[in-house]
Amino acid sequence: MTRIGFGSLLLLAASAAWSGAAHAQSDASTIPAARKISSPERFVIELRGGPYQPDLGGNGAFDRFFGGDSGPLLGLQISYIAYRVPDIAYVTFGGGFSWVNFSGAAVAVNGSGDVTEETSLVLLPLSAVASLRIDALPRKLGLPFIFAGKIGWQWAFWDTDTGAKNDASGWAVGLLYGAQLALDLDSFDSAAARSLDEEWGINHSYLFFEVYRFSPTSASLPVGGTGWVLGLGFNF
Amino acid sequence: MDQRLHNGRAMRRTLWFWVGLVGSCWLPAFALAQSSTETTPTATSTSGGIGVQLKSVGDESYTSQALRGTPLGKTQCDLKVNLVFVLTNLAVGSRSPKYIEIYKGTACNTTEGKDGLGNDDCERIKFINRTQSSTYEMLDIPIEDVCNSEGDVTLWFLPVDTLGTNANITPYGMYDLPLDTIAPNPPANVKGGDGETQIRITWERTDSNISRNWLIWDPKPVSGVITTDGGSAGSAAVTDDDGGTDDGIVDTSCGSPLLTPGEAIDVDKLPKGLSRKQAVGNVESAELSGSDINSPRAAVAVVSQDLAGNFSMLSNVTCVNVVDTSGFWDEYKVNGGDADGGCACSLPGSLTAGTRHSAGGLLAAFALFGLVIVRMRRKRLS
Repeated sequence: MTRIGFGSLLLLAASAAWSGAAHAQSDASTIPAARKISSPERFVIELRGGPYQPDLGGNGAFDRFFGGDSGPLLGLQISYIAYRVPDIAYVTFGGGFSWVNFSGAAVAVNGSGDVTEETSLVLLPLSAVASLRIDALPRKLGLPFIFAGKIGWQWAFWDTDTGAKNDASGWAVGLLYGAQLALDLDSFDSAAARSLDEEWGINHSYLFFEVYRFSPTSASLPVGGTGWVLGLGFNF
Repeated sequence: MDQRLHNGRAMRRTLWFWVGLVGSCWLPAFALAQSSTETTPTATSTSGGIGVQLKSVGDESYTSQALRGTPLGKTQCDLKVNLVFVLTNLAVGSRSPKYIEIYKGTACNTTEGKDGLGNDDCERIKFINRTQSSTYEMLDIPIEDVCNSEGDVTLWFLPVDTLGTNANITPYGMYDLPLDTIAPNPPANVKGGDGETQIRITWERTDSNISRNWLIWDPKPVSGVITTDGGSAGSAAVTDDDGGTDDGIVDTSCGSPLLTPGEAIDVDKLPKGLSRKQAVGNVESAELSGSDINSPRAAVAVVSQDLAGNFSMLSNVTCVNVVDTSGFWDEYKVNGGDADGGCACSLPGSLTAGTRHSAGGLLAAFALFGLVIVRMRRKRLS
């Protein structure tokens, strides 16, 4: 225990024996003023999920087999806070991965229609993303809104099967960008947020809605498209 | 460093330690729970004052959890193994009982229970001459002596002076033998699918203690054979309009003279022409491939096997069809899609030079920008 802490305990014990008035005066003169304490803020992690359908560049194969299937796409993104303007904004660099599976009934080649065998398309996008997050509103004004813009590059592994037969697999690569509106949870219960920081090292937490677009290059299987996700994020 | 912050970190480390410790403790607990889902009496019973331990079943030690994890049943009965018991705490001396009678039934240590009168179900299956100078006795019981029973069997070990006496026996030994010789119900509503490499067969489970299901198929189905008759044991295929006691479905287009619904079939010695494949677990579907079936069409039925090794009767018979199929990728190509498998970032000619450069340039810029920012931050902190 530090000397300050030990001294405080001694003072507290001594003051208990004094009269009420003398006790109050003693506390006021010896206990140091409170100051804001927070753990280091280095990373951002986001758990995300939402519907997704690739546009396939106008090719009707997706709609033919997976037309009613929207995933969901589930993912995780983790970023390093590279630059921070305190209580204003910060820049992050990081990466993420997600997963989505589409499946539907295959068809008989003889024209007799759908069969019970399934055909599927699995996407496993991996991304490298930079983002700018502006959190001045909740930090300065107490308004619980955070805005973020993201840009990066995505490598989406895709794999398509029919029954037990692997038809093809490969990588679709291209630009990934998006915009995010987040609801800062700290603003609703600052005491709980502070407790979360002290006990778990989580500086901030937020719910978010993000719209993004993946634009693969022309040589890729066109599994890009516009999608949206809801998620939960933590700064720690 | 601030003391509270330091304490917070220490608390977090401690918390993660306990989370890890508790988490790791769950793994063996989970494994134990998985292995203990069936009736698993202990190997030793001390009710009645005499200790009874089932030492071994055939050549296998009954103290092994693997054997106690499932009830004894068809597997052991078919092998006609011996159950080896060890009795302890027996009285010694010249006045001690000369024999030990072994009964099976309910409350066989009482006069009313073992007198063979009334509604009692006690039956003496064996007796032995005991060594009066020993508190210990080992004896074996042929399992077929109890295999005729349905469900668990309680064995009673009664030290007596005179065989067949009706006096109440104290002390005595008792052992609840987990025994399951009851055939499980066959799967219901078996349905076959169609496809090329993954032909699904589905059914509804009708018992909870199923360890596996056997798909049995005839690759040369015939028409004119009823494929559903309700699955009741011992019944033959019926030919009336709705199958009498069946589920009302009559399909004469695809059946097999070798597969009769509701009849027993020896899965280990199938008639020539039939094939089999097992689906492990109490599942409700399994898949066959076209190469498994090796025929354009096959009649399929399912037999369930329970944890004790008992087989159900044959389910209803359904048909599966092997047809060439096409899926998403074929359709994509038919519709003019020109992407190929592999990585679009490395295939020769798959990217224009400008695109490749822009991708590489973006990545390089991304990395460089990150490096600059990090250096700026470090400089500022120092």
